[in-house]
Amino acid sequence: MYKVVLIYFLIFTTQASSSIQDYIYPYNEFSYSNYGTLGLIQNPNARFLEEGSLGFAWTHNEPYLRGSLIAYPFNWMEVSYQYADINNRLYSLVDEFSGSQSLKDKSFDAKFRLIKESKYVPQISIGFRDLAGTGVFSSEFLVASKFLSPGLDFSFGIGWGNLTGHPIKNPLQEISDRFELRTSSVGEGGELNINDYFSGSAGYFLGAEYYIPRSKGLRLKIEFDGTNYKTENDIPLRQDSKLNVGLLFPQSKNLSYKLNYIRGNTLSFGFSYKLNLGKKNSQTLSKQKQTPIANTDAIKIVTSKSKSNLYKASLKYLSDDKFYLQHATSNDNSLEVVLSQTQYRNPIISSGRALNILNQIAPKNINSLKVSEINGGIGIYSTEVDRGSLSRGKNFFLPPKPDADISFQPFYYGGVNDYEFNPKAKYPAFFHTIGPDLRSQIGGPDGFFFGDLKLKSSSELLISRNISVLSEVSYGLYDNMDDLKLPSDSILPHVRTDIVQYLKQSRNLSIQRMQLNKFGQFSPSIFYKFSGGILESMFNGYGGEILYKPFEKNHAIGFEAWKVFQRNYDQMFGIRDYNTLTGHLSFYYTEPKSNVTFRMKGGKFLAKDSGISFEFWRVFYSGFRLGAFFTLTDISKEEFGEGSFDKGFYFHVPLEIFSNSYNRRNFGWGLRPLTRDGGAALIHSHPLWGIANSSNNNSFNRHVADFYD
Amino acid sequence: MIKVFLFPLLIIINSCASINYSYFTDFKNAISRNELIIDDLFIENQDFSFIKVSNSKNDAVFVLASISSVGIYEWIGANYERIRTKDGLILETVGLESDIKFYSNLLITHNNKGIFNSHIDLYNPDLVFEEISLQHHSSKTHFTENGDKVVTSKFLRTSSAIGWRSEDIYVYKNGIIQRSVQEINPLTGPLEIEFYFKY
Repeated sequence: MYKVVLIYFLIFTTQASSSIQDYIYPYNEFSYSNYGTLGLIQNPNARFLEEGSLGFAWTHNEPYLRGSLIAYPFNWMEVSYQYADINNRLYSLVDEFSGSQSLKDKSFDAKFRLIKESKYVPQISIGFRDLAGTGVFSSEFLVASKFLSPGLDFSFGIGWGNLTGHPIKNPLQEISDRFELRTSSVGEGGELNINDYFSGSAGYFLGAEYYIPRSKGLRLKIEFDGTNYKTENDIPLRQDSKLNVGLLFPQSKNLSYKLNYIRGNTLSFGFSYKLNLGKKNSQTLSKQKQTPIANTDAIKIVTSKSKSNLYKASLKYLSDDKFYLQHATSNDNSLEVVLSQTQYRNPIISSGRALNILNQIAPKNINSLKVSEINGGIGIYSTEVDRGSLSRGKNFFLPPKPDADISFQPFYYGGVNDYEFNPKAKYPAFFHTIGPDLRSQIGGPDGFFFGDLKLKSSSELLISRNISVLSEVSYGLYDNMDDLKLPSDSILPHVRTDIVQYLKQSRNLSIQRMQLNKFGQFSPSIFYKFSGGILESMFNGYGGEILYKPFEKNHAIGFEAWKVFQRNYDQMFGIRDYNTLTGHLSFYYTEPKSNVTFRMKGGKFLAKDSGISFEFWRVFYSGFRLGAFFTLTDISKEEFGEGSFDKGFYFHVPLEIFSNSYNRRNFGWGLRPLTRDGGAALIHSHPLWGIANSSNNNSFNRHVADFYD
Repeated sequence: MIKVFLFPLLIIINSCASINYSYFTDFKNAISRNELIIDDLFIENQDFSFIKVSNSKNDAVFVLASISSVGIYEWIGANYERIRTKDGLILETVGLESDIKFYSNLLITHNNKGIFNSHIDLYNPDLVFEEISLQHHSSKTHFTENGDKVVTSKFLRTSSAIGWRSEDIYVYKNGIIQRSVQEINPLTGPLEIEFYFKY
């Protein structure tokens, strides 16, 4: 017993932290294993990247070629999605179906931190491989990691499933008989095999990662491989040695390469790229500062002469910073402007900059400034500030105190009659962007990747402040979809599974969307939208949405109903012989500390099935959004087909993260492991949540430190 | 009939009249280098002496703000970043991606040869009061057609505690710094500075 305690303290009582270590051991973020999650070579470890990080790992590890997308929604959670090309098996047991294509396996892994590393205690995590896939790589593990010295990270764990290369008796069998047998075999995938978790025999694994000092981050990895090569993938692999060794070569803090020698007979190699997208200014140093207005003393003299001068000056100087003044009103000591803008996603930065402009040009008698923002004719928010505190705060870079120096309020937009100054807006107005559009079909039996590159024109025609036509038209530039031919096997109405037909027949000119919208609000908290036209790539129709979203609260309720008609495969104006009425009641709740939003959406879906969709997403400080969803409806697993139920994940990356100027553009990517018809919802543009989301007291208070950015 | 109406509308609202190529701009910004060309007109339009500072990603102009009694020049960037130089050597930066501060001011000049030691602070990641040395490595002198004397000196920058070893280059014309290349952090690439003095 004494020896055990002594060994524990010798091993687990060193902690790495010191600034000089960042130079001796640069690029010291944790690295990925061959399974595409953080770990050693084959073995997992208990480590995590910072929350808001997103990684991609690619590994060639004969007979596997694996690509993984890894996300960190929290400091204590790692989730990953991977495709593995298994080149010693064909896609199907039926040769005619497979052709020459090798088996592609999709898998979902997750790891959770149970105990955080401290001076005497290792970090302990629990993890699941191939959680809801076919089970080819399924395993569970409990792993501890501890820095033995600043450059030596040691990991030890116990595993189940395919992590039983060094079998031991499953300790959980002492607790319950349920852990004695691991029953499920490799299946269709898509379901959680909860009964199998931590069952059957167990095994141990261990290893270490040594950060070679003053070597530009070079690392040596050595491990006692825990993989059971007799059970993994059903085809046993020869293992000549249980000791694996590897090297990691960081090119920068984001990019690293690896070279490993595993099983005593196989060389594996790969690379990984990771970014922290969640922090403010994580990829650029800072954003461009607002340019001060010249000759403000002279401007103030002019604006003090008449209200008209003040309004015109506000119009001009706000416009110079891409704020579009819609209305203004002034009295003896206050100035209020209503504006719209498309540059800033963060309402605190937007209102801070607009107020700063007004502060520079308003005459001295004005001691209260108010900015209200509208979007699509909907009032989003008002920010009112005491001018004295604005000037004092700016000089000392002290953010204003909410409810003392500054107040955030909901804003009900009542139209022109409420204001003295109403500059005439020119309608109709056009806005265009043009850019690339990549559509893809990944991992199907016809081939691993089918896709096309299209040139997409997105336009918005503003007919009035609250009526617009949004259109997306694209023209194909390149595609490889000739061999894509697998027909839908769904027994439900083919509302999504005819995707192959849509992809193939819309390769040239096609219209993704041509949607007429009318927005409005009944009160500061109740917003509505009516839409009609080409609502998405597969459905035309008409309908509407209403959202109750109180400014001070963290919850919201929405309702939407649509009459939809299925579009022709060529994605032009024709329709097919299928229509339905779809609609949902949605409940939203945002947890203010983590900024995680939960949405429960119940109702009737496109294939006339009824059920509930659950969605979770987290919006990080930078605006980076990570989300996942699943839908359960009243159709059986057999009716749904492969995958059992609809599920998926997505992320949205604000492009301003990579720029030193502000903009509202996003890069978004999402994935459903399988395209099925059950639980499919209409994807109409400009949902009210997206428009009214910033009308929220919590988002102002969260970002108040950015007021002078 | 609907098609007849919608097609012209489609063409109108997707016309190229005011196409915003923002995605291409974002893509270009993400992968390309932000280059700044300093020509005679640019120099002429500047009211004050300035430096062009370049790293692997960007070029930026810093304007001279002050000169101390011991010959330290302070340059200010567009977002109030600061660089303090003496004879081309960066003594201190504030507001860059990684910053440096030398504790000793009197280091190299165009005709100094030998080893110069100092303590430094580095920021991002932070490192406090670590030893550094600049050792003269080589110098080459040549004369231009105008008779100007151009000296190119190379110094070896080392900080053994953190394994930092890099080469500095300083180019002087008639004893006045023209250009320097130096690392201010071992984890970032070198900074190149071109000096444009206006008297």
